[in-house]
Amino acid sequence: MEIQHIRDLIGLMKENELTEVRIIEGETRLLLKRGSAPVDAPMTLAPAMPAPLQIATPQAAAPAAAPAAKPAEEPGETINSPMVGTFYAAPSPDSEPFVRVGDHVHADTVVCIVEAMKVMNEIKAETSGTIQKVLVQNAQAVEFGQPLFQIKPD
Amino acid sequence: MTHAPSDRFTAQAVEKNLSTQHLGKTILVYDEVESTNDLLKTIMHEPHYNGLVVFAKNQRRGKGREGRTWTAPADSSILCSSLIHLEGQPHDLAGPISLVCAVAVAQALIHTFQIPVRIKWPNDIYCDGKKLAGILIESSKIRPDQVAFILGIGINLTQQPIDFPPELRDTAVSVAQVLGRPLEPDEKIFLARRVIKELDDQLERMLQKNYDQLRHDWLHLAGGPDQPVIVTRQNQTFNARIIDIDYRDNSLLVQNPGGLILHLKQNTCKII
Repeated sequence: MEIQHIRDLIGLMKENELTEVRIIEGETRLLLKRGSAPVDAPMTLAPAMPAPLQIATPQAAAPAAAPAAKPAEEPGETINSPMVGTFYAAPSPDSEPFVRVGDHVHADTVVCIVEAMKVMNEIKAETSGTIQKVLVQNAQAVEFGQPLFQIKPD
Repeated sequence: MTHAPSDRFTAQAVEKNLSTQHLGKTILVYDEVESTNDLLKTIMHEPHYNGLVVFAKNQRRGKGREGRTWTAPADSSILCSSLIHLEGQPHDLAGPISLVCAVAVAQALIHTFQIPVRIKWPNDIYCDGKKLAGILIESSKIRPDQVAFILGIGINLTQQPIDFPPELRDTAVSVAQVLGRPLEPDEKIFLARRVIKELDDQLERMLQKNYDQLRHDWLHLAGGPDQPVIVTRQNQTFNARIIDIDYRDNSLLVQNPGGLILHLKQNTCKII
């Protein structure tokens, strides 16, 4: 399926105020969804979809239609967020960060806080190794399973 | 006598006739600590301390969110932290525990003083449009399937406007201000006991997975479904009405004037 076709479909959806279109063409399956609210606003009581527009393609489909590579593609192991929330690198804005690049951590080392529902959750490394990279910014909103740190295991 | 003498506020006084299942088997009252939450943090992993409740008459370094301080003149407030170990995962427990604290503190204030408090999403306690109590919850996974929570609660009791830092005078309020009279000596003890009892009852309800009742109580104490709120999100401010809570994504459901139902997350918007 050509990108232009998808663009045309999106245009038609907007014109006709459609919120969802599914197309199956041979091996290719396409699901387009659009929300009319400014941001993460779904229309129903279902949990918010992460993005207003989703393109689903089978494994062999054209890579052009795939979403941009996510940090999940980072090599090596990562410490991932166990929850949706806000990432904090330090216990308070004027404190030193829990960990820095090059620090050695073990399973029980607290590496950051993820705040959800005003609960400040300490996140532990849960593995031992050396922090290679911090993958998110302080005070950034993070998703469930989003890699927070790249770590080189011992 | 205009203030409760602080020497009457003892652990024995608070735990008198207190019957609980989870919290308060041990209650400690300190004259002064850095912060009650920090005190519990040092022992939060110890099964032995599960259920411990500590009060402080004074905090040298009371904590709020994002590094903010929680300031209170000595003996002016309930400053309390409770430790509870719960089975489960942080992402499943964070929403309910946050609502548990809000409902418990609101109920304790209503039953002790018959004052019209209101919860603001997710767990601030307001009265007359000003903040009366704040909650700071900290958690740490202590086993693969167990999380330790520190439930930190600060309630303004005897402050007059002059006692608040200038930047908070228009936005903070105390029980004495709301009542328009000084507190009786034992009222701080009654409130402290009631806070523990309500927290314990709500925790039991959470452990029984009675999340619907918790949601119902939260909504009622937030002004009921249809409560008007002002939402600020991504530099946009709009009016909306509360519809419900969605535990699945820890969001508050509101309806905007156009009829759209929005899922509002605590970390992406401000709701007044």
